[in-house]
Amino acid sequence: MKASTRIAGMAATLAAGAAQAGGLSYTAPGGQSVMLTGYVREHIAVNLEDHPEAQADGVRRVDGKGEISMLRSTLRLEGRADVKWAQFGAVYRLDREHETGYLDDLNDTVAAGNMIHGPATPRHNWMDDIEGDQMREWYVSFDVGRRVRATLGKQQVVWGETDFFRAMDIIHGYDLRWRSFLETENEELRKALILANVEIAVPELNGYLQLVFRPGWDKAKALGNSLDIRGGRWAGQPTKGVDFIPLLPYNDDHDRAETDEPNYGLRWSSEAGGWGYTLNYWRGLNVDPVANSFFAPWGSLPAFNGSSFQLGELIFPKVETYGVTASNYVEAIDSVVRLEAAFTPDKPYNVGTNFGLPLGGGATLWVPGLGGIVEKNTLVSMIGIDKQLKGLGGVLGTNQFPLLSVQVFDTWLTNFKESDDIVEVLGYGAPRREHTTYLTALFALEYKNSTIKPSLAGVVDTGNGDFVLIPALDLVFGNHWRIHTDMDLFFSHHQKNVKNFGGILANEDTFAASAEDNTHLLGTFANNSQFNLRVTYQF
Amino acid sequence: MTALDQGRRLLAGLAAMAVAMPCAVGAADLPEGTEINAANWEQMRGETYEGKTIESMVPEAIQKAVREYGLKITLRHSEPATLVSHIREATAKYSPQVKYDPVTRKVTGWVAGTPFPDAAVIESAPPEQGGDMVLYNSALAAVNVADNTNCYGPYATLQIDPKKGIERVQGASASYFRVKGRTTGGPTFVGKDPNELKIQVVVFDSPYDIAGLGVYRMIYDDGRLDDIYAYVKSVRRIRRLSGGSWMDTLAGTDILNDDTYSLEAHPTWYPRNELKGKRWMLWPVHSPPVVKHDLDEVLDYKNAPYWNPINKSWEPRQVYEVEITTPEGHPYGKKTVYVDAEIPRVLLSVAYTQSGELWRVIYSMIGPEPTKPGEDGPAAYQLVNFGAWDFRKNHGNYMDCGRWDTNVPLRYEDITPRLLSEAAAGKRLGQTPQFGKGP
Repeated sequence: MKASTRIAGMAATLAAGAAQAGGLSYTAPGGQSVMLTGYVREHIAVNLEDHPEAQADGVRRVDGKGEISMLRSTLRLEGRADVKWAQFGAVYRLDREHETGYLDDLNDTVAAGNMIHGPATPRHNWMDDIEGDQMREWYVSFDVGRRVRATLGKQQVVWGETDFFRAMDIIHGYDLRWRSFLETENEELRKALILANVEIAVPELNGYLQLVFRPGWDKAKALGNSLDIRGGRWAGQPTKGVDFIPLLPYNDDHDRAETDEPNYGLRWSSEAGGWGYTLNYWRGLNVDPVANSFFAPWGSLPAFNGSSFQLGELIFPKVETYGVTASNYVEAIDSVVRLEAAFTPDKPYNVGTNFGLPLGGGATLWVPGLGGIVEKNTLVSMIGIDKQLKGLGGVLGTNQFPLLSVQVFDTWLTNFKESDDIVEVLGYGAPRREHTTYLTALFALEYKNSTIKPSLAGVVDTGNGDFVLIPALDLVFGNHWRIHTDMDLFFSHHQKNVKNFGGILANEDTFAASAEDNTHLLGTFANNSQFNLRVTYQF
Repeated sequence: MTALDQGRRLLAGLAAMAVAMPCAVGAADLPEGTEINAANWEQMRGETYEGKTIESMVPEAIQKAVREYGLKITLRHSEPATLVSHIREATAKYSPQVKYDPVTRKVTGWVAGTPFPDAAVIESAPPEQGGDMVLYNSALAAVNVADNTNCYGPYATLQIDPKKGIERVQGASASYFRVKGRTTGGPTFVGKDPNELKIQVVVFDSPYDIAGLGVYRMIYDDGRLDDIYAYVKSVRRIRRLSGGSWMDTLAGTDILNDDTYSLEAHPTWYPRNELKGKRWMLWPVHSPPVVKHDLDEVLDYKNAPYWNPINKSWEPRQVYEVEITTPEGHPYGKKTVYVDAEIPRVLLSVAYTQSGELWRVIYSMIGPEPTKPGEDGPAAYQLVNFGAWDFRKNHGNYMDCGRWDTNVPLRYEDITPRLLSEAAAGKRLGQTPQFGKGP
């Protein structure tokens, strides 16, 4: 609360100084300008379902329906300076969370679980994962001659055409711990990196060549996706309150996954026959971590963290990805068509859908995926169609044409073999499918000069019918106030549950002969439906 | 002489008197500087100015704005338009080779300048062909934003509630680049595809939630739909947008994309453009130059209905009235545009619902650019006031690019979709920092 007060004070100071809608700005007689903008934001999320996992005592469930899962205050400052020969930019973000009763329960459960690792493993405060302050970006852009534009510094470089999922948007990892994948503005989730980003115009060939080089100066934590694997509010069912990091600590120094080695890539953008297209190559780190298990090490042995319960380590192996994207407005169907394909040879996957460790008394700790790593050629492809529904605008009384965007996103292991026994999600026994195909849709409306914007988004796993619905409403008040509210409704018919075994809560497969094998990615979000309200004062 | 003959003579005499009347009234023309407003409209409507009655020179939609929304019309003497010689010379040089094909409704042979400068050609053609020619003049001629223009407007778009005042303010910078029909020296065409006509890039920089949002639009002269790209900063990506959005609303405003500059569309996108006639219209074309470009210099935003232009001088202009029939899916039933007969620009667009009810006024009040050193006239008639009044929703916009930098040194290679991401990273498109205070 102290932090919130501080943020409010800063906001008041900034608001008082903001003469116009654009924050604080100054333009010199020569045209040079500086500008400071940003926002103060309060996020409130409420659980819409009970969670079946055990609390610290192992007897009571976490539950939490109707409880506040997020009370988050954010201050974001964005500074820009244009000195004509160069532009400077910096983004700072301060996040503070109130430890709600629900989060307190989760944190206590995490801490209790940490005890088994002995004094060598510190008790983890899960709040540390979701709050803090960071210089999210700082960079300078300038032209070199008339063809070359360079941007140097900590920045975000985004490739690809895909919504919701990522095919070529793989230069950066995402921090999915505080809001999973649901934040609309993915720039808030993407983890910026220190990069040299050079774009060279080649008008002779009607295109641009972009060269991106990461010298490897980032902190290890800046690489790859940060998933909630420490038992927090976005931990997949049934792992709320379970801290996996003592069991599987990150290793940024694995010989095939070194985070301080340079990464690089290039992109050619051009146009042919009305289609804008890009050709991409990126040599970097796999954005999702894979487990290097003590029981079947891949390359070097896992680094030991001092806990006798350690099972292995998490690494981001180096991979190469070749991509192509294209998009065009196709008049015959009055729609924009987006296409993307990304091929990663020898992409690492965890195997062992029935990997388990006997606990005695017939119980097994099933940890599917710790049976090692296999490398498979992977083709990710996407086709998306964005269509304005012109006739519907008059019927629904919108001020813009309603937008329908539909997308199919497929991941295909081209040399798939069932016998490889690949897991889809580490820790879950469901085997990876040769094709994992998601259908997504967005239907968006705008009313009253686009100040009232309802929308409905959905994601369906076509392989098993699990789906997510996200009804949302955005409200615009004047220049400064913005309200966003949504519900994240997960309909996961295939989920790994927690059962009561004679008064003790344990995973449903604890006494089974094999691991639960039905839970795919969307199933891990079971019972995580949320109501989310976001109030922003921007300046 | 029969009684019938007497009667005929009497009628002839009355007719002669009727013809003579305007001259008689003309002698009592309203003086320059007269203000016409809601209070004196009934009294003024029958008065004359430069020999024409006031009412005949004010389209009905503007009359409504005067009577019900407090618009004030201050009279000024009419003045012939002047344009820099390189535009006039291009028209003289290239217009003889321009051909209009009544079957395809397409134009061939246009290189630069005004394609159909001869009023007799327009007026003697069948009305639907004359209407096309008038709209081609507006679409192709370079008097709109000259060859290239930058501008920066800290109050580029105002959302206005005529009862409550300004609701929102958006700042933006913009670049306009003419690919074909250039007259400022060098080749008349500098693009790749021979039908590339012009490029518009607009990037918003305030308020925060739309800062960095940019739209790139390549406009063609052969009737194909625009290529449109948008940079969405919150996802850091350039996206292709639907070419069909030319008939969609411009980002939450009260105008459609084809209402930009009162009309920004290829004539063939509409099934029929009928020339209804040539008439006189009072309109600001030579208003006093805007100096500081403070908002209160151009718009009465402090008093209801918070959207009326001020410091404008209205003069009688000869305009072509063209009735545009909209295609299926277009929100308007029809729109009537008033195109200056001398300066090929649409000054006023009046939009109607499908059932024919008056819906919106989209006005473009213009003024000559200051003559540049070494030139002999204005290189363009730029917008001084542009806005929209939606009478049905009782809502309006004022859009202002602040100060225009006409014919700044821009290159074709510089105006690409990449400019969107550069602008989002802080590069301002407008060169001149001279803009005024917003609301």
